[in-house]
Amino acid sequence: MSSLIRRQIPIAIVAMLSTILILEYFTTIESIDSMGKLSAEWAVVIGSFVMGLGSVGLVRRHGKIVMSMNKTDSPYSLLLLVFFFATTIMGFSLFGIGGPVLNNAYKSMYNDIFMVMSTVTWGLAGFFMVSGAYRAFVARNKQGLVLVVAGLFTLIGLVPIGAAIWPPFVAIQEWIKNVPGSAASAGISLGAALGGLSFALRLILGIERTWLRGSE
Amino acid sequence: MEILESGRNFDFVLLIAILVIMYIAIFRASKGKVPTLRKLPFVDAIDNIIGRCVEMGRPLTFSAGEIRDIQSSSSTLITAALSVFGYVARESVKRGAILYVYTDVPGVYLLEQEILRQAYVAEGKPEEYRSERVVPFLAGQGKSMKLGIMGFAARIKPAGSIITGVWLSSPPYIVECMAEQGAMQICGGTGGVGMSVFAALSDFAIIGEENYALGAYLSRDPLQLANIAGKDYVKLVLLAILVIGFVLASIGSSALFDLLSW
Repeated sequence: MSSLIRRQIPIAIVAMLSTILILEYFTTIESIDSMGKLSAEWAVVIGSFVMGLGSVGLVRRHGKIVMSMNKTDSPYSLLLLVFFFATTIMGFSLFGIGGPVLNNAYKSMYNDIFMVMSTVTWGLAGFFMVSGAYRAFVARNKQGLVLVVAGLFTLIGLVPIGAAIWPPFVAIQEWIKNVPGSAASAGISLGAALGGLSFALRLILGIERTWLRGSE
Repeated sequence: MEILESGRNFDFVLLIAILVIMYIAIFRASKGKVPTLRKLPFVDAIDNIIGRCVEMGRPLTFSAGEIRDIQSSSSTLITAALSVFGYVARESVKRGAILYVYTDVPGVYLLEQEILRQAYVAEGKPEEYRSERVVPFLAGQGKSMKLGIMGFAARIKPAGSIITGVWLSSPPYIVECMAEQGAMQICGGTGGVGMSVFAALSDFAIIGEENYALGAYLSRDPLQLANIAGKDYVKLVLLAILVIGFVLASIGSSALFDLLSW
């Protein structure tokens, strides 16, 4: 494939659209404003095509795994394909196709399976946080000690018994969150925003090219 | 009629100044004046983690984030993560490590497939690339992805995990289930729950702007390195504005506030 199609045209598209979107934010020129809105609509349309392409890739990939009859992976891939097609078919009920039977099946799948499993997944977070805290709250060095002390004050200050034991725990917890916590967070956010800006410039100028299929 | 939006004039001037500073840094690098960047500890760790996976004969996993929309404002961070992935993919293929890459973003899934395939082609091993095995699409939805990662990690038992990009609520799940498998972890995020979890629990944390700089650092491309140096010059300018603002506000002047809202 020629360098023009693989590299130069995509870089030109990125540079042009980025410039339009930057100017749309800063200027009152109507033509730029409408071009910006149009490009946002294109992004939605292209995104929908990518979703379609991704679905085809998903079916192809898991189809291959099912056909390979691999004992470890095939059952999972088969399950995924069954639910993928079942959800797609039931989804037609959203457009009024299939009547109440399909509609109820779709609602049941969402409310009785998906939502329940989602809640269970959120519940698991508690266990992971506890095991994570157990690993993190080890004062191996000075920084670790700061983390342990700050973490303990925050935990105790947030639970009702903390205030009952010693009321200043709450104020200390709030100070940790609002002063050093928010100062560090603001510094990191500022740095990250600048990092994003410099990275965007690398993309616009075509210096960063990994996203073009990893080509150098 | 005003051409610039009211209240955004100073922002526009500042943006132009930032772009000019960065462009000068890039121009200087193109003339041979390449800046030297400080050594980042997790850069060596990336090579070490790949070596660890090769020695233990267990796979390495990579993820560029869990956000479900590549068209969002986080797309630059996802692209930055992909630039890191390009390096990790090439090094893994070169040194014979088995690399798995997972995501819940359909668009990113396709890009990762292609970047990994190109790495195999570049290293002269195209026949070894098996996309259906090494690029699993775990889910198109955050909670499903969490469960997918848990099962995935338990099955493949990775010796290393590298994640960077946009992270929402999955970090505790990923970090803990990878730790359970004994994986060495390098984790990066720019804010929220993810960054705190990574900083506290991973072996090496990539914090804030380092996520954007890492790809440039790994590429050793003089122009990309110059861009990072340009960003540091901009930081000095912003720091000067902060100090001036601090002084002016302390003496009761609202000059800087007026300028910012110009």
